[in-house]
Parts: sequence; C-alpha cells; structure tokens
Amino acid sequence: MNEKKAITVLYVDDEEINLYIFKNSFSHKYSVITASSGEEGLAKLSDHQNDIIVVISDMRMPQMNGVEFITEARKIHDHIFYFILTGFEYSNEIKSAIENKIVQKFFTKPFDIEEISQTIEDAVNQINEE
Amino acid sequence: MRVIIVAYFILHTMGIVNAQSWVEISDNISIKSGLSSNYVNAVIQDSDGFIWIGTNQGLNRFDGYNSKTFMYDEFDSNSLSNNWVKSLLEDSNGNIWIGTEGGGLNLYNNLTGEITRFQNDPKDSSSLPSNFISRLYEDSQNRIWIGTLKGLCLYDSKTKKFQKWNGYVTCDDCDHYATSMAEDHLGNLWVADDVYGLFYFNPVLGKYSTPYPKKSSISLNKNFINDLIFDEGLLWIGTDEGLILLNTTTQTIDEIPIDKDPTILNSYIMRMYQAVDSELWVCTKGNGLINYRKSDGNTSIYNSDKNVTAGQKSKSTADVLIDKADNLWVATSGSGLNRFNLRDRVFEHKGVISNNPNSLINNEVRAIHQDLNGFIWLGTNNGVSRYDIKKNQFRNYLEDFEFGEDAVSPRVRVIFRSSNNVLWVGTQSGGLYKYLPQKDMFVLDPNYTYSSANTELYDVQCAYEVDQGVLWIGTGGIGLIEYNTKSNEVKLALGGYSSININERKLIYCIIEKGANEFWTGSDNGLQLINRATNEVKTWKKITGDTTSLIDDKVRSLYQDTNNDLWVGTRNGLSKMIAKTGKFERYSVEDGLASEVIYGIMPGTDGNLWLSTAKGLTRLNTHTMKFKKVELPQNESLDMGAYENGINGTVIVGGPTGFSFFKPTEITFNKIASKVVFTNLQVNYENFKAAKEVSSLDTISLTYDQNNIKIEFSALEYANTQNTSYKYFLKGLNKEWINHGIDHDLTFTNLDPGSYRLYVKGSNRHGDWSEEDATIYIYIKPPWWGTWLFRLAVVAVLLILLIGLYNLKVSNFRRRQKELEEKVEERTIRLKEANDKLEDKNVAISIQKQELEKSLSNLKLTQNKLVHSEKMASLGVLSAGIGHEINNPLNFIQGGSIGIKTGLSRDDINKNDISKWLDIINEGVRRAKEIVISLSHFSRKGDDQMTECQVHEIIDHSLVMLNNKFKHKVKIHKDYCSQAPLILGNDGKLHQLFLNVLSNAEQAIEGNGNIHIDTSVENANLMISIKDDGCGIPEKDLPKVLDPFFTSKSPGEGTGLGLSITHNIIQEHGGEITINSKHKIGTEILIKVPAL
Repeated sequence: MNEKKAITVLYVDDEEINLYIFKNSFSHKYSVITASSGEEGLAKLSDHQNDIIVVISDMRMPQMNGVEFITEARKIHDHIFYFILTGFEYSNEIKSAIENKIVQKFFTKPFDIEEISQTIEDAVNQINEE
Repeated sequence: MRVIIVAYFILHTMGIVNAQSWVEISDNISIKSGLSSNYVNAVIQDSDGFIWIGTNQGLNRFDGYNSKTFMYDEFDSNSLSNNWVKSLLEDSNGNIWIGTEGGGLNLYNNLTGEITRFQNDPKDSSSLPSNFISRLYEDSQNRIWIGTLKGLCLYDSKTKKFQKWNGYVTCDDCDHYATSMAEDHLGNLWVADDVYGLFYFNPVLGKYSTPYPKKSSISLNKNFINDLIFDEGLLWIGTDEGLILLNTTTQTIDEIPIDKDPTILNSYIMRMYQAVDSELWVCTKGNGLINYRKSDGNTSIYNSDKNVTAGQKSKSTADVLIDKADNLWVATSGSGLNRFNLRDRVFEHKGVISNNPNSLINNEVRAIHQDLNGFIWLGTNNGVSRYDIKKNQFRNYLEDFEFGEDAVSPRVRVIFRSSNNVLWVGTQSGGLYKYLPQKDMFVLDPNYTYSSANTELYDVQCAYEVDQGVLWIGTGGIGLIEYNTKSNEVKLALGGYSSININERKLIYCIIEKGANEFWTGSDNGLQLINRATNEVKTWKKITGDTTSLIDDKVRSLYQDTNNDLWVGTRNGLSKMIAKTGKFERYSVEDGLASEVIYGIMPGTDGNLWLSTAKGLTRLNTHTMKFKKVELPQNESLDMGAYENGINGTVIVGGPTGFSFFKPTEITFNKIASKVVFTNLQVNYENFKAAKEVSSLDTISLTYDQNNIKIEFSALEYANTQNTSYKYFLKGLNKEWINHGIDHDLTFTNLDPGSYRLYVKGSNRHGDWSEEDATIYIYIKPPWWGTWLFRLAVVAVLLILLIGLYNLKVSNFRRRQKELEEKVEERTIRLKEANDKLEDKNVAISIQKQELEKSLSNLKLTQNKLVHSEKMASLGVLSAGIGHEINNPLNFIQGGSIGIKTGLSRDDINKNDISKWLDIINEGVRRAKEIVISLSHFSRKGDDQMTECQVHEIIDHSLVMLNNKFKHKVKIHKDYCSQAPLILGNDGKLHQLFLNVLSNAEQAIEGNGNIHIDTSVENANLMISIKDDGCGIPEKDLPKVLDPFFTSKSPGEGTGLGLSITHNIIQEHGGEITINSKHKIGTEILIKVPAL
C-alpha cells in the first residue's frame, strides 16, 4: 500500500458529478471520502474522525453552505484542515472565514489537482513537523 | 322525378325484340312536381321556349323548374273556360289556342297573359259550332282551323267570328268529330272525320273531294283516324288499328307495320310527330311510344317504365314533341309528362343491376381497358368485369381472384396489357395479378415481391411498360417500383431499394413516356421527369406568385400531345407545359372545366381532348381552348384511373355508378344557349300585377317603398336544369356581371330610388352562355320629398332666408365696427405702457432660461450615466452569478478530460469509464451552452430592433441566469398558458426587464421563499404575473417604487433605477405594469403587453 494513502480527505459537494471527478482525481493518492451535503459531511467526519485530516467543501450548497458546514465541523473536529472549493466568488463570507482561521484556504473551480495536492501535502507536513 | 326509359329495339324484318337495349334516365313531370294532373292530352313548346301541357285537369306552363297552372274559375271570366284541355296550338302571332272538351276555345295572349273565351251560342251562327274541340290546326296562310263535335270550322281573326266548313256534311244536327287536319303541298286541307272519313278540300275553291280511298282494299272509312301528317306527297295516317301511308300522287295505300311484337295487338295511334331527321314518333294508346325510322323502316318502342306491363295506363301515350334542344316530351295518360334528351342516345351506360348476373360486378369503377377483341375490362372496388359490347354480355371475375392475406377485397386500381399480350391487374394492397386466357381467370403474380419490402409494394396504383417486359409500377406507399418480368427482379426504380428518397414521391398516380427513355410521373409532390438511363429526376411544382408554373402540386393525370406539349391534370385545375419554353399555362373552372379535379386526359380527333373530372366529362378544343361539358347519363363524379381511349376513338369513363362509353363523332352540342326568360316577379313579397305577362315585361315602374324585388327566371334548358347556371348585372347597382350559380331567382332588397336595368344570362348543358340577355328596366320613383321639384323648392327657401340674414348682419356689423375703432385707439396707448415694462422683465427671464437649459443638459447627462450604471450594476450581479454557474460545468469538462487522460496513462481505464467521463464532459458543455445562450440574449441590449419575441423563452433564459441566486433559496412555480404567446418587442430589453423583476423578487425574499410566474392571454393582451412571498413593499413606498432613484437598499447596493427602467421598457412595448404588494406578505408584479 502506498504510503500517501494514509491521508484521508473528505470532499463535500452537492453535485454528484463533482464528487465523482474529485474522487477519481485523488483516490490514487489519498483515501477519499465524499459527502453530498453539510449534514452528511458532519456525519462522515464523526464516522471517520480518526482518519480524516483534510476537509474540502464546496461553498454553495443547500441548507448549509461551505463556511457554515466548516464552522460547525470545527466545533468538534478542530485539529484538521479545512478548505473551501468555490465556483467563482471570493465573497465576504469566505474572506472573514479565512481571517478568523476557520478555513485555511480556498480553491476555485475548475480545480487544479496540483494546487490541491500541494496544499494537502504542505498541511500534512505541517502536522508531521508539529 | 326520374324514371327510366328503356328502349327495346325491334328488328323490323324478323319481328323479334332486339337483345340490345339501353337504359336512360330522364325527368318525369307529374302531380308530385306541380303538374295539375297526370293525364296529359297535349304538349307544345311556344316560341319563347315554354312547354305548355294540356291535361284533363287544367293547363300548365312549365319553365324547367315550376309549372304555372291555368284553371277554370267561375268568378273570373278571364280564366280558362274548362279544365279538360284536349288540343293546343301556338299561332303565328305567338298566342296560344286552347281547345277544351266541353268548354269551347280559349285564346291566351302571350303579351298580356289574358285569356279570351270563345264558346258556342246557339242563337249566333257565327259563334263556335260546338264546345267540344278535338283538334286545332294553322295552315300556311295562317288560317286557324278548328275540329269540333259539329265538324270543321275556320276562325276569322278580323271579325273574330267562326265559319263552318260543312260542305261534306249530310246531317247538320248530327254529332261528328273532325279529328285531324293536314295541309298538303298543293294547298289542300286534308281532314279526318270520325263519321265521314278522310277527304280533302281546297280552302280557296271550296271544293270537297269524295271520301278516301276509292280503290284500296283497305277500307279506310271503317278506321277511326286520330292524326294526319303530310310529308312530301305522302300522308301518314294514324288510326285506331295502326299506321297507314297514303301516296296522294299514286293514290296507293300501305299498312306500315310499326308494332310487330306478336304478343300485342295493332297499335291504337293517338298522335304522331314528324322529326326533322326523318324519324316518325308515334303515340299509341297501349303500346307506348314508337319510333319509326322512315329510311329503313326500323322501329323501337319507348316505354315510360320498364317495369310496366303491356296495357297499363303509363304505356298509354297521348302526345309527343321534340323541342328546340332535342328533348323528347312524351305525354302519358296517367304518368304525367316524360322528358328524355334524344342526343343522349349516343351514350351507353352500364352499372350494377340487382339480381342480374349479366351486369357489372360492382358500381365503383376504378380502371378501364379495352382489349383488341373490343372487350372492355373494368376494374372495380370489388373484382373485374369483362364487357362484350356486341353481345351485351358481362363476364365477372371475383371468385377467380386469389387474394393476398391483407386484401379485404380485390380493389382494382389499374388494368393494362403488356407488349407480350399479358393482361395485368394491379390492386390496392393485393398486389399484381395476371390473366390466364386458357383458364379464363386471374392469378396472383408470385414474382412481384421483395424480401424486405413492406406491404406498400402491393399497393399498385398505376403502371407503365418502360421497356420490353420491364414494368414500372407506381405504388401507394413506396414510390416507383421497377419489375422485370423476364428476370423476375423487383427493385425500386432509380437504382435500387436504398437509394431512393421515398419521402419525395410516396404515391405515384400516373406514369407516361416522354420518349428517349424518359418518363413523366405525377404524384402529390408535383410533376417529375425521370431519365431511366441516368436516374436523373427533375421536378416541377407550383410556385406561388408565378402564373407560368404548374397550377397545383397534386398531379393526377398526364398526356403528352403530338406537339410534345404536356397536359397535366391536377386536383386543382389543368396545366399545359409548352415543350419549347418549359412554361405552364393554367386552366380552371372559370375557364369552363367541369371540375378542378382532373382524373384523366384522353386525346380525341380534330384537336379535342376529353377530360374526365370529379364532376363529369369535359371536352376541350385545344385550338380555341373552349371547354364544353358533356352530360353523361352518369352525371355524378367520375373517378381516378377510370378512363380509356378505346378502339376507334371510343371514350370510356367510369366512376361510382358504373361506366359509360360513346363514340365522340356521334355527339352533337346545342349551338347556342337559349335566351333566359323572366317567369315571375314579386314586389314587396306579392306577385306584381302588370298589364303584361312577366316574360314580356320590359319596364316596371315602382314607388320608393316598393323596393324589395324578387324576380324568377329560367333558361328553359330542360335537360339537367340542376347544372344550369345564371349570371346577372343590375345596371345602376352593380359594376360588373355577377355569377349567380344555379339559383333561378334574384332578390334585391331596399333598392334606393333610381333607374336600374337588369340583365340575366343563362348557360346551357354544355356550359355555353346565352348570347342574348333577358333584360328589364326597373324604375323606382323617389318619394315626394325626394323629387327634384321638392328639393329645388327647399333650396330656394333656404337661399331667401340666408340673404335676409346676411343683410341684417351687415348693418349690425357696420355699427359695431365704428364703436370698436374708438376703443382700439384708447387701448393702444395703454398697451404701449405695459409693453415697456414687460421688455425689462424679458431680459431677466432670458438669463434664467439659459441657466435652466444648462442644468437640464447636466441632468440628462447624469441620468444617462445613471441608467448605464444600472445596466453595469445588474451586469455585475449577473456576471458573478454566471461565473459560478459556468465554472461548475467547466469543472466537469476539465475533470472529465483529466480523468480520461490519467486513466489512459495508467492504462487502467475501460470503455465504460471513458463513456462515463464523456457523459460528464457533455453535461458540462450542455450547461455552459445554456448559460451562454441566456447571456447572449441579455447582451443584445444595444439593439433597438423590435422582433417577434417568445416571452416564455425569455423568462426561462432569465431564470437560467438567476439560477445561481435562486438555487437552494427560491422555489419557482411556473404556470404558463398553453399557447406560446408572441409579442413584438426588443429581445435584449425584454431580457433586462424580466431579469430585473425576477431579481427584485429574489432580493425581497429573506431565507427561503417562492416565486410564482403565471402567464395568460386576455383580450389580445399577454398578462404576466410574477409573485413572490418576500418582504413586500411598505404601503407608504408603494406609489414611489416606479420613480427613478427610489431604492430600499443601502447606498452602493443599487442605483434605484431598476424598476424605473423596467417601467420604461414596458411603456416602450405599449404595455402596463401594476404592482400589488403587502408589507411582509409579498409582491406581485403584473405586466400587460399586447400579444401578436
């Protein structure tokens, strides 16, 4: 088994197609868990709380948007890395979430696999250094 | 109304009934159709064309539609003196003499319509000798001879007295009828008397002959003589025991056998009629009407009804007449009057006769072929009949057919003979059959099949042998089939089964050869020319606006004439394609075609074409381009494919009631249509009383309130009156002739006072119009207040009043003028003072005006900027949303392509995976495309053009653009009206409008909410309601929301121009906007725009 597979990533997006793409783009590197809503994301986090170290969430979702979901998640799982993957805008909501260290960083769609991989690896290295 | 006349041709020499007979349809005029009695004694046609019918119960004048009846009326001395009319005569003045049985003589004045009675007065020896009149006769000197119960008398028109001619009488008081008179070539009058026998006298010399004959073995005196006709030295004598011929030169007498049927006795002859074509028509009391041909002595019997047995009353004929149009009128005792057109004898008509196996198999004839033996083969909707003209025999083929499983019945569509002398029958849905002469039956051709062909192959509509043994079959579903009967190969024509565009020519109606391996075909898609060598197809169609194009695309029949010009019969008229120019000429019903639907075109002699149409047969003279209708015995429609140019030019046509055939050379046409006569006139719904008979009226003078006029007329065309058409022209009201159709009356209501002249034309049975018009002046006098005298008086009075008033005014005016002049002077001084003051103020105002203009232009500039900034603002809002919406699909596309790429590089991707990735890419492309389409509409803002806009689409585009904002927040409920309403509008502006309104609705919703979009069409307006359940507008703000710069948003969030611009856009589209809103409940924007 590949060493890097030890990293488990949770990806939350309400578009099934996006989940499929994400999973296929990263599953050879990481163990990818997906959820199609904030609520499901919270549930998956609880199920895999010892595995998931990176959470990437879409911004625009029904009921709970990306920042709202991460805010909730962080209340319970504060030790992991949270990123937003947004369609377009760098809204005030994202801006203040980054300023308040709720979210580490945001990516835009269409996503750049290298950029995301690099960020994840940097983050994991950061943990390992700690 | 109609009865069938059957004629049995009797062989004169053999004395047996000829097997050949013909059945014709004609009219019967009886009590049912308005005749006063079915017992008709006399019939004549007057010089106007009316048919006068004398019966046992009154006199009738028939005009082809109605009978006018004349009866005895005890209170009217101008009425007929007696209803038992025995004899009729029109004299040289056009007046009608009416001889009665017991009532004496009546003279009808043709001009006034009055009747004068002449009766016996025992005290007056110059009165009519007896009131029992047997016969009336006018000689060449226009003397009127009257046969009475007291012998012969002469009428003196000057003295109006009667002179007895009784030089032959031995008993003056005895009763003896002078039954008939005839003048010979020497001026002698021959008289038959029931007591004194036959004799003659010279009216000038007054010398009587002794009764005839002196030398004959036949004792004429024993016979009762009913009629005499003198013809070129021969006297034809109709007796109670047959026909006798007296040669007045040689004094010999012959018995003429006119009735050789051994089962019946010698004929009791009532009357005779000498036809110009040397036929003698003889009315008999019990044996019907007998036609005697003088040239060869051939006789035929005409009975009024084939079902009537000998001796019955309807076989009792009393008088006969051939009118100007060759109608034969037969007066019967008991069955009224029968009419039959002699020219129709050239037509043979055959149909189904129930319970008679020697008749057509089925009445619906759809295909005709005459073979070399002269047999006519008839394809019907239920089998084939073969008709032998010579033997009048039918051989019917129904049982001998083999039928395909799907074929319900053998519906024959084409019968043709190929060059190897095989007779083929093509059926609808049953395929192709061959005739086997040895077995005398039809069998299905098993080779006409194709493995992958559907049943449409077996729907055979037409056929043509394009090469020896090679047939082209026009089908009813898959176009043209080529069948090689030698190699048994079946394929689609034009190069095989797959290459043809079968949508082009599904049903082929006709195929003919052009020459040089080129063929014309006709279908619902126009005319085609197919080159069999190159498979090249040229098509001609109707081109709207081009009168030199084909008249209609639905081609039904084709004929190429000797000049190589092509005649094309369509469902909507006839076209002729000129070979040299390739241009089409057009002919329609207006040109004289019987119907616009032309099923068949057949060549005739002398440049004639015979056209079989949906309303019968038409002859076209291609030199004069004149059409003539041919009234076949089957005057109903003819049908598709049922026509054949038979042997020796015989024309054979068929339709829903069997088939007809004739030799065109035997047809005669009426030369001209007779003049129309007026038959009745009503004014204000009552019969008009005039000093003249309606047909003689040339002027009617009416008062202003007698302005409802109904006039009836007739072309006196007795054959096929249902096809007689009329046109009229009321000078003073109409500008041109008006086609009136087959109605034979005209009604004019509320005619203004004035002078009018009515002209009426009628057509004959061939569609020719009468050259001379029936005409009548109609003068409607104005009321007394409408007369010129009255109008002049009114004008004079008004003038006098005006002059008086004018003078009064002038003197008043002069006085006032003086006063005014004084006042003006005084005022001028005051005004000058005020003017000076005003000039000072004016300078100040001018400066203010300049300042105002400047600030106005600044304001306009600012407003334009603001309007633009509103556009930019909404564009900004949009681009953010659209950016998000477009990036999602882009992510799909990128993800998909990377997915495939990495899969391929790692070599662990299979077909399903690739397919899945491609689906994702396509989904991304689809969504992006949708957004871009919506956006493109919005960006068309600068364009000011008004086009037809589809409002539902525009709303949907706006919803796509706002999808980003609505997603997870607003639920959209659409209730569009069923039709998709169009409006005239600017596409870009309308997009901006709905984007604004929907965007506002979205902004009004805090949290989740609903937007209802309803459309409906009311009174040619499109109503669009956009209703949200958002925060609503406070009542105090409601009146201001449409004002520019009104906004509820914080500074920087909106310009406040959105709704104002929306309002402007709606106004530009001629619409209205209504805003209903309740604070905290929601807002409804109601837009009304005119729908297209």
